[in-house]
Amino acid sequence: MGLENRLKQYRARDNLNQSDLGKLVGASRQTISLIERGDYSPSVILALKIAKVFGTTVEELFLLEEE
Amino acid sequence: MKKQKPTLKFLSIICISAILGGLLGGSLIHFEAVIYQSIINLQDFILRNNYLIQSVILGLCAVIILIVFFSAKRKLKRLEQNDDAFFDQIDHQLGFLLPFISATMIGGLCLFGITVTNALNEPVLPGLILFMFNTAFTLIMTVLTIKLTKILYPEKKGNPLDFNFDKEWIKSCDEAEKFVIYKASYRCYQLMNFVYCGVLTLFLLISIVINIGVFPYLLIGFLWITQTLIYAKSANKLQHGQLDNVQ
Repeated sequence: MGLENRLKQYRARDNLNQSDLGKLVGASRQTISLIERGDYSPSVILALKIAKVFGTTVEELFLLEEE
Repeated sequence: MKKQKPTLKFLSIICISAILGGLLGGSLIHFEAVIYQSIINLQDFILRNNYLIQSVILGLCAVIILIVFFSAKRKLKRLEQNDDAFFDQIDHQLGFLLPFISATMIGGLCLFGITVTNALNEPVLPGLILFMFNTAFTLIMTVLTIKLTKILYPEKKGNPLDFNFDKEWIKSCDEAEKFVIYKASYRCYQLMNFVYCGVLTLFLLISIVINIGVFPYLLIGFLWITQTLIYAKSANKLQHGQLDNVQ
């Protein structure tokens, strides 16, 4: 089961680049890039921080991809 | 049946390895003179051309380091905040540069070992100068590359000349970066187990034709056991309450 995400869409909506989002949640640009590409599943804390920045829920941002 | 399969596979590999090892060891005796002469010739060649080999290897490494460093530096000046692909390009270059500088420094140390071994047959001074130059160059380049990395990632902390650099650096990494470091370290641990085993086997085979003494075995044994024990001790510590992943 993989993890899909809508980070890119939300970033575009709020006109944020990866570095900006990284600064807001205390992560590096590289980490945001890894999450967006689906190469890294963030911890619960980081997922909650990202959701808070976009004013949404973790479930709205991250979706479990059924195999 | 499912449980038997891996056991059967393991036993088959052990048997095939034993047969191959026996055959290889046995056949080595027939080529003993040729192999012995080849090893002696190789050693003579290295010792005779010691400084030339060192200059070519270390010089080539220095050129590669300078090219990659200045290329990354130039790109960093042109970097715009929104260009994620360009950002990744510089990150890749720096990701290559730091380990390459470390490898050059380690290589210089090993090559200096050859100079010391050959001290009775040739003057040591050129080798010492080469070694000191390489060490100073790699140290300066490490500091400069870390500075470049800090421009790319301003949140990174630590001075490479400080003995606590590793601790400070990892402290300033976020969860994904730490995950990458831990995963890469485990991969290195796994691979090193194979490397030790391979080198030990190679030494055993070489021992058939040439006396290499006891120190290679003691050294590999010491390194292998140290690595295994440090890994086991750290894993045990982390399993019993020192896994600090709460941010």
